[in-house]
Amino acid sequence: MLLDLLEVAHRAWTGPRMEEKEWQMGLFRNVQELVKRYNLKAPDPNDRSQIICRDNAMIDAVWQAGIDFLVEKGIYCFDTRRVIEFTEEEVKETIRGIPKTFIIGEGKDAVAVKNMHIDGGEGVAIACGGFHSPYREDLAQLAPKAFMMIPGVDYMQGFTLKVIDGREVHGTAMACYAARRQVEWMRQGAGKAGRPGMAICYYPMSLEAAPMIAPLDPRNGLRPCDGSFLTPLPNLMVEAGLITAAVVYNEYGLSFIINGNGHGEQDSFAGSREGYMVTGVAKTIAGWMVYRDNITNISPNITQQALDRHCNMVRVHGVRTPDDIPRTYEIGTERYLLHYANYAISCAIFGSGMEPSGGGHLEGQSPYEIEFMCECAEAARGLKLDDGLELMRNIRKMADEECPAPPVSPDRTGMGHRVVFSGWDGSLPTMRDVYDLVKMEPSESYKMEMVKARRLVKAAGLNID
Amino acid sequence: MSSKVADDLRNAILQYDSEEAKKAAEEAVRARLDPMDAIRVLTAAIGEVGERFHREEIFLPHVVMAADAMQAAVEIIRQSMSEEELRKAKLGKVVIGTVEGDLHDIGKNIVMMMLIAAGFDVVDLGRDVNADEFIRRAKEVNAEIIALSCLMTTTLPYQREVIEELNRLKLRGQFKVMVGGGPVTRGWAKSIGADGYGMDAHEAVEVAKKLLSSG
Repeated sequence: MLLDLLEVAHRAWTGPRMEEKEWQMGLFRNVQELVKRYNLKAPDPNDRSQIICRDNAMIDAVWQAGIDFLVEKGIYCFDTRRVIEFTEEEVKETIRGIPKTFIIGEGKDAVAVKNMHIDGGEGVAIACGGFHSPYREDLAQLAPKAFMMIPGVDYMQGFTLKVIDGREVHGTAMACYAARRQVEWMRQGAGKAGRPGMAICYYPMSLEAAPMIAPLDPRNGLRPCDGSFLTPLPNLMVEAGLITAAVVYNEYGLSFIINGNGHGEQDSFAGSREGYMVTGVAKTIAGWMVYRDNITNISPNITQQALDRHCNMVRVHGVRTPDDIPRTYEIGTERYLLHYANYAISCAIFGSGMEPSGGGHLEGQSPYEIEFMCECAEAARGLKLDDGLELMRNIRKMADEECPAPPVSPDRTGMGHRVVFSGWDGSLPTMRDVYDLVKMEPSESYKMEMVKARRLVKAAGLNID
Repeated sequence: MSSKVADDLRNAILQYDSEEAKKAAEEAVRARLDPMDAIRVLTAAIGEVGERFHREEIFLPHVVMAADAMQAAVEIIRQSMSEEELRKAKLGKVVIGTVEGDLHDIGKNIVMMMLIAAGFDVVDLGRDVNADEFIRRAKEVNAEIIALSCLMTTTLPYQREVIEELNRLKLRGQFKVMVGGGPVTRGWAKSIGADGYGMDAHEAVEVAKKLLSSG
């Protein structure tokens, strides 16, 4: 039987006390021991022959190591400083409770979501239309309609706001107010787009319980057919405020909850790439057990394969390959569009959900590239995994020849993925520079870039017309 | 300084071994080696660990263990140092944390480790730390720098709150304040009156050094 969220909450407030550092170093030691116990080997991320693991015994070992971690260590609630412990039976039973299919949205705009298989053919699991980045107020009211009119978009995620009604979003009261407006504007956008039943997903303004719960409102806010984000912190840590939100969401009947699951390999206490595979499994399952996350984000490919073989979890973000085209800050360029083309193919062949993210960049994506992404994903439906990987390789190769990545300006270099530039200081181009939301059309120069991107994608072998 | 003891100190840090670090430090004290030389060896070794992390050759727990080993050795060596030597051995004391309402601490942890690796004495307040706590602890430990991290757009104002509270308490001149994190820009740092902004952990260390040298 599914472990009750109230029981999880009870354990979060009564479990064994532990200091955070002791938990983190204990995690490191336990994960490293599991890596040895199961003789885990991480595939070389730069070796194309290892993008997909063909060794089922290794995939199963990664899965079992992740489950063992949860049974042997549990998870840690950082603000109560207590460990939430699980029995093996509880873990296994709760995993069996991950739904095979769930419905998001309502009426004619409802969509059935299910785990797709990694070996290609079925297409993407679900397509998010975007946002997931900071917005200025005027754009936040205009943008939802344009994004939600895009064919292929199944649902929308929200955005953060720095200012609302002329006031800074500062403190719990303003965060609650901004949370409600974010969702209300998305609901209005869905109506204006002629898709009032489209599911929306609240993107947290703040991680306190109150702003997480504030948008629940069937009339203007989150309906039970909508979703939200509840992400375990790195290093298998959860927080009391989000457990509180999970209990309320569960009772309200929210359709989907997304595990953001973002943390870098090197930054975590997993301590190695092999360890990161283990915590990837553990964190995804912990997200379901504690927050009821039924959609999960970023993990190593082999971890995603392990999830796919052993549970119904819907995965987001496709495969990582040496042929990914990293998203640049230069919106409105051919290369920017090609990033979305390869991302779409990756998600389609891996049966993942697409979740184009602004990545913290102010107004960092426009409806134009999201439309292109959806089109590419549809064209890639039916492709087998190896064919899709070859297509991605072709696109990357041609992109590097035709429109190489621009040199990174010295004021935008930092320690790799750990540095994010928001552009709040006006240093980065935004959607406003390349897309008119009133007329709902791209600039003339962006249209020209699209012509080039489409030509390249077709030449590489993807049938878009 | 005996090269064997120096090697033992260095290796203990590079192997993240607190017990070996303590043993080597005790040996250095027993042999009446110049404590400043011993500290220099340790600082160079932890700096090497920081570089390895920067080059993505090792992971965060390794840096934590190396820092623990360094602190264990320094505790022992400090006991044989004069006041003057103690003062010279430290770059400065930094109180660091993620501001109120923000639970994202990866960036803060990396900055903290790099500061330790550079020789700073760092007091980690964790995450979701309010202005009162930053100031109380900074006063309590006699910090020179308060370092404020955040990742969320909506928690940016809490960086400003710390500076405003320092101003209100007429303590602003007592501490240098540096800020960093995903949504933080140089413009933001300037607008709230911060003394420094670090784009990443490497720059944060340089900024911290500069702030102390500028008095």
